[in-house]
Amino acid sequence: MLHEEPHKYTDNNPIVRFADVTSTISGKIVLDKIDLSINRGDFVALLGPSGSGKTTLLRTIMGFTNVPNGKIFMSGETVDSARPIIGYMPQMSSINWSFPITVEQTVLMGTISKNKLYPWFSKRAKKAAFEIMERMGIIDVRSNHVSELSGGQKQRVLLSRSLINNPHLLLLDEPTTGIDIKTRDEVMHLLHEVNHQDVTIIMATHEINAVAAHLPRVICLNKNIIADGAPKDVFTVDILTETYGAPIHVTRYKGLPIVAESPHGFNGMKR
Amino acid sequence: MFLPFEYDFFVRAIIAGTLVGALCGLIGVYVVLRRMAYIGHGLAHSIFGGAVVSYIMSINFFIGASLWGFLSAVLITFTSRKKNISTDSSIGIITTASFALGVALISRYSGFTRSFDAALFGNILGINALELYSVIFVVILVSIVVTLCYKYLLFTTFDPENSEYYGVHTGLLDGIFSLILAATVVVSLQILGVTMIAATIVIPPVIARMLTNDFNKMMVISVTTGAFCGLIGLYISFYLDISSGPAVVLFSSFLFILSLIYSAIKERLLFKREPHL
Repeated sequence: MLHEEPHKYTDNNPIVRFADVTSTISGKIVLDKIDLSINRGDFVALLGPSGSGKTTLLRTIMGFTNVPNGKIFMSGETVDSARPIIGYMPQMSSINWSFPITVEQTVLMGTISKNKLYPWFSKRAKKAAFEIMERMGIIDVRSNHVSELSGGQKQRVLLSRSLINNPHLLLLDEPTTGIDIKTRDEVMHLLHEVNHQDVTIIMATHEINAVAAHLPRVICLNKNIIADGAPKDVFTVDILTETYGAPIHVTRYKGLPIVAESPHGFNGMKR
Repeated sequence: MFLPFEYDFFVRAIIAGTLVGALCGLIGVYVVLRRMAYIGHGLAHSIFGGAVVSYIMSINFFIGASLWGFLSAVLITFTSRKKNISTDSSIGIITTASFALGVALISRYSGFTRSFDAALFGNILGINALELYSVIFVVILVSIVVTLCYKYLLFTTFDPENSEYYGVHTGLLDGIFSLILAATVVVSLQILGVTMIAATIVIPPVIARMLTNDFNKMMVISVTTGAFCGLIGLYISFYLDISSGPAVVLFSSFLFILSLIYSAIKERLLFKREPHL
């Protein structure tokens, strides 16, 4: 368990607030009438089936989707100047890991929006890269080619790239997909540390038991917000079945909710 | 060995050939890593159409062909962004249509002074002072652009899907890249010919990729290999009296085979050193 209880947040000045937001991609509505407040210091899991709008929600926060309806408030304002520094970590599968590039160069790319007129990476950027690689435990492999890394090291590289500018808000797209249990545990503890250094984290994930159940706040999404709260309140048969559109069984072990997927409808299982 | 340097045309051709080889090696790194190896082939065909149209409309060849090539590259980029049209399909459609237009116009209008063979396979005799200056101009232009956009081109080539989220204007960079690629193909046409450009763009970076895992070293190896292939290719073209494009491509292919053998031997040796588990 990473946090005992959800944060006692207030709605006075959330870092991100969606007011009746509709978000579209290529004219298709992906998120509909979303009302949501993310407060400073939150560590939130976004749950939902593929195509439910998890990645779109992250991209909407970054300002990369069309928002025909509703308003988005960043740090209490609607203007771009109020936008907090955002770090974004994409899905690992979106990266070409055979590309001829070193760990350090990949991490340095996170600084690209700074010193825009300077054609190469500045000394300051290199210093920042060194520090974040040291913090993330990948300093020894900084000169290695990215294809030589283990799954956990690759995640740390992408995490370093998203943290290099000291963001206030960290958006993670399935950071624990495709890695083993031990590495997943390492990544989660790393994120836990980051969260305790005053970084607000929103994380899209497919892993209900291993990841979302250990976070203080879970948002179930399927075009709309189905539920928002602590895992113990959100992980109910009704909410998860509505979110995933498939029958799901929930049990408890040592107070923690355990969610069982129901292959082929689990016809015989009582809900 | 230095006999051909007594001829002015050869001096011009060898300088232009070496520079074009280096240029193709430089731009080729991005082309290969962006997995769009077929684009050089396609653009050369497309630009052929543009060259014929420029000739008929009495527009300067370099301006007309470059503009045509740039528009083709932009059109390819935009078409391939449609989810149901892949990049190779859009290259196949747009560039072949443009080439077909060029061939159709040649069949319809008589009076073309430029040799069809030279356009298809390259000819070192055709390098006049203006063409040499054009090559030098494009080499300087591409070098400046690649230097100034180094980190941005690296990011959009490595991680095109996410670079926009990090504040990189991918559309603008794609446009700039299309422009320098089109300019490269236009100035390479006279030496390499429409049909031979693709290999000259692709082979040097592929050789470089086999030899290194480092992007910067890959650039250096690719540019050097390209320049070397241009230089030796033109010598071969002169001594064996064959078209310059095939001479450069055959020599590049020879180096490719050598590097393939080298990397196979290296892998085998490395494998042997692995302990048996």
